[in-house]
Amino acid sequence: MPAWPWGSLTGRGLNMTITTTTLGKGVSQLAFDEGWLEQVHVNLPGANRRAQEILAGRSLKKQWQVAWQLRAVTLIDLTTLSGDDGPSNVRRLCCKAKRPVRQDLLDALGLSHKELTVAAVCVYPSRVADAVGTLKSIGCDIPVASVATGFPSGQTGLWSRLDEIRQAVAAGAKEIDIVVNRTLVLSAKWNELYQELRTCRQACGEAHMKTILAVGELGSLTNVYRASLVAMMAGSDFIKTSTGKETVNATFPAGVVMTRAIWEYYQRTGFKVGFKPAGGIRTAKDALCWLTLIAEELGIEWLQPELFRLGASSLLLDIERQIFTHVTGRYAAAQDFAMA
Amino acid sequence: MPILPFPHVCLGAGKFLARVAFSEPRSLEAALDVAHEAIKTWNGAGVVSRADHLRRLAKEVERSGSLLAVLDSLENAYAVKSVQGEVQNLREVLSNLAIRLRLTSSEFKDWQGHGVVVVVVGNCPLVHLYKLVCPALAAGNAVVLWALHGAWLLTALFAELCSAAGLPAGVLSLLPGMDGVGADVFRKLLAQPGVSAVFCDESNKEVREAAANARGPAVWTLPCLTHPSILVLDGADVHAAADTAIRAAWMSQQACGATIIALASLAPLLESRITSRLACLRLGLPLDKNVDWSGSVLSSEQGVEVKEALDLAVAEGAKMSQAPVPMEFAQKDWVPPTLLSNVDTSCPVVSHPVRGPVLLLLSARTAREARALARRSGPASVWGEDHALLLEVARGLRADTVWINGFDWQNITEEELVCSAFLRPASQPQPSAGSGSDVLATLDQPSKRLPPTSGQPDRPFDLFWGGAWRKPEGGGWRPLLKSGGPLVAQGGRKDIRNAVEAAVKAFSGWAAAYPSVRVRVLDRLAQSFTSNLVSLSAALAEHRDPQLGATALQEARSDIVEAEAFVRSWTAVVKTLHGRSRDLGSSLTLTLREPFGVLAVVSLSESSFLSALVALVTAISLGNTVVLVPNEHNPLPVLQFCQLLGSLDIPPGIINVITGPCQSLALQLAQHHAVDALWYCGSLESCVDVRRASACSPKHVWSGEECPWAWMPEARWSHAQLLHHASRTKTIVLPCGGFFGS
Repeated sequence: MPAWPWGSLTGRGLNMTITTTTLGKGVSQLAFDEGWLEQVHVNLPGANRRAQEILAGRSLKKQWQVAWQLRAVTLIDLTTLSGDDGPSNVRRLCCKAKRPVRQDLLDALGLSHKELTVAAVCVYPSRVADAVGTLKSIGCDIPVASVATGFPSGQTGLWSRLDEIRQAVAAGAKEIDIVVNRTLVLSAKWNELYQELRTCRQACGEAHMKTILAVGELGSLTNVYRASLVAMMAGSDFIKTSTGKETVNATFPAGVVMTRAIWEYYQRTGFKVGFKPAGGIRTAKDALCWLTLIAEELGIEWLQPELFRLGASSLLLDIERQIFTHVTGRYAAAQDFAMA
Repeated sequence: MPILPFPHVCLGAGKFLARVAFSEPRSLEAALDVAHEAIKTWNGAGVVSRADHLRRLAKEVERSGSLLAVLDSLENAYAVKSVQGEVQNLREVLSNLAIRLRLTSSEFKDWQGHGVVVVVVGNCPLVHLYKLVCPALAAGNAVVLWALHGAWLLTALFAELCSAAGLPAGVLSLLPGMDGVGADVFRKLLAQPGVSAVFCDESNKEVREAAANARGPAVWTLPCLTHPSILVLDGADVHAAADTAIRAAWMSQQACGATIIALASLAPLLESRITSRLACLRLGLPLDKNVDWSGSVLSSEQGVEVKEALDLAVAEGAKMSQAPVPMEFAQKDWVPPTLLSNVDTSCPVVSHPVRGPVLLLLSARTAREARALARRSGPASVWGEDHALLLEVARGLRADTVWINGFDWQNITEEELVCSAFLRPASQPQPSAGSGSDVLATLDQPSKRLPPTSGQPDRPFDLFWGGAWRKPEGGGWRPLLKSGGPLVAQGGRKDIRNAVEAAVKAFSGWAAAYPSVRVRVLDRLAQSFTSNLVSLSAALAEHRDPQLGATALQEARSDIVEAEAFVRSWTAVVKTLHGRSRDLGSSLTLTLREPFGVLAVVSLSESSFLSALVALVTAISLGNTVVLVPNEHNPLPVLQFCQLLGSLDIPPGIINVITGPCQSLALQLAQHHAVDALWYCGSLESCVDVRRASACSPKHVWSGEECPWAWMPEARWSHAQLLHHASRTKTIVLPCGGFFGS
């Protein structure tokens, strides 16, 4: 039974019965609480304003900037999700994941003794085996994440979606990024969504479950907040903004709203759920903005791989270039660094 | 001016900044001389030229924006981030003034600046600059700027910008002064004969006292700093409301704290959200652009005052959470951003909020209760989902700007008339033959006022309030003139109380009446003039010529006809008076016109009937209820007019008339907290007295030596002036946006 910070709170969820089922690594499910969802209201201009404030109000420079950039590196889910993915480029990706920043740059920063890797690699289910094999062969123990459940649209039958999860887990994926059924969100069938996500959670077994909300296709920020709550109640370890395949991906206002849902969930239940923005994060500056947003809205303790990930592919290159500039005072070209 | 070795110390870092030249008595005279020279060119060049100068000044401010921000930040320890917004406001105000001057140049034809005015600029200099100095300049005054501690460097730069913008030399003079030692010099400044008016922020007690004691110029204290109220109702986005509260209470120079009033069901979540955000605020040195708050409590006395108030509140059971103070500031006399929750409404910190970074969290059971708990001034922000409810709350709030689901310190209120406080009516021109003012000119001659003929029966006049004639409470009756005449009741303190109570009671119904109801009443009024032409003109003529000569009757008759014409044309003005809406891109604004409430009119001028009629009609047509004190020497036409009212089916309490000694009744009205606006006309000295008396409660005062609303021929009416002083505007801001995603 978690600590209950607002025992005296009326109006919001006092009548909620908590049935916690411990799954995965100490993550728990909550009974579905429709009343909580109904009380959620999100004001879009308010969220926009807050996002602007965070972006404009905190700037990081010099050695502090580099420190945050290196922290960002350790939080990256290094991703490749293309139709032409094959064993060779997945192998390259894994090698980059093991050594994300050029060794000479780390030496110059006095960090040669540190084992610096990204947080995970993220691939399609059929490439999981390649990734797991490569990482094992190069002696790197970061987890492999796999997208599943009809990624990116989720428009396949439940059985085939669940099957994908099982296939990925069987191939050795430690983390599963599932997509929510947008049809259920847009028709406000929250309970059905909850049941589906619970089934997925069970299919994941020991693996971590990251639920992709695909915020750009949910219609409103209120839906984003509600979907976040449902995903957390159903036992997600992480909630993730987008697949990267929608027209609107990880925007800061959506990030503000999702982190607030996480904050409220934590205040109520005592469970810390992770957050993963993904899609369109390409520059080091963007990455630091996301880190700032987390530090401001959730607190600095959220900035560790267990609770925060950045889904990205080309971001790493930009960060490496920034670090190069800091170390040498010169600007680098893309070909100066190892391909991901 | 000699440069005295007076170190100006930066508040944030406590380091030496600059030596400041300090004003001494002979520099005052020099400054005033130049100002008097300059006023001729400044005023003479006309409105359009002034507008051009202000536009150029706005440009200069834009160019030196960052320097202004840095100076203010250095002097007063405001976080540079929050100051930037104020610099933008300064620029906006200047360019808006320039535009409005051009647009409304016709409004100014009968108005001019006071002349040479002293403006006191204190420790939130940017706000003082755009709320006091810029409007004073726009109105055509020459400004002598008395800069206090905290404004020295910034005002010096501003003066440089003024000269760079090509303002004639002397239009703005800068005299650095200080509290304490400088107070003597300040008193000397006020005693100078050339100063026409003094403007200062109402929060500046010392200056207010010094100015009140000087028997010289009129003193205007204007509210510059505000205390926003944030109402959080059903369906509110609590997170966004919490952001708003933080922005309102701690992120602006204009704020002196804020109050957040939440429904009881939302208060716990809100409290915990604000508390957790408090921990993430960055406190530090003012020039660090990442810093949210840098300890801008303005003096150590103020710090002590705030601390005492907080201690008292905590002793009474309030819960206090404060932002963690960084190590390097721990020693200082700092009050960090503070949230006070669970605080009783009877606690002094609620009824008299301290000027400090204190956010009060109150809880309410219903939206109605929340509205009642909101402060009666300053901007407000209302959060919720049901727009019908939000608009009703917004309409009922006493605030100049109400944000629906949003908030900003942006200067969004649109003033009807540019800076009315900074203007006075131009001297009345010579009346032309045959016009209405001709009649008044003859009326004003006391030699014509003869005792009435003894054949006339003496009719005792009672007091008229609550729709009926009532006996005075103890004042008795007195003949109008020493030698006899009709008996007129002598109202007193208690009669004022009764009349104001009747007016308050009638107000809510009258203000909420559908506009056409009020228009119908005005129509009936105008109609009654025609149908009672004979009796009314006889009453009017009687006092001019007791023998009721033909000329006097004729003149009176033409007056009544003109009065009717005025009521009709004013009805047209009111009927076509719509609010305004503006599209600001990300939001829409609605500007509404609202009555003040109870409006009291006291006129010592001799031509009381027609002027009183102007005041009455203007006030009630806009939804105010009126307590009128007619001229004690000539109350009969008004009283006769009241007798008509009975037959006109005007709701009781809308018009109340108390006769008696004007000056003492005026003071009673000025001190009555339920009187929301006061129009007063009398000698300069008595104007000052009335202003001082009315300072006890927020009250809109319109006063002047020459009756500012005096009767004048149709064409010369400045409708904007009358509207401005009989109603206030409220701007409701509706931010747009809800679409998200693809």
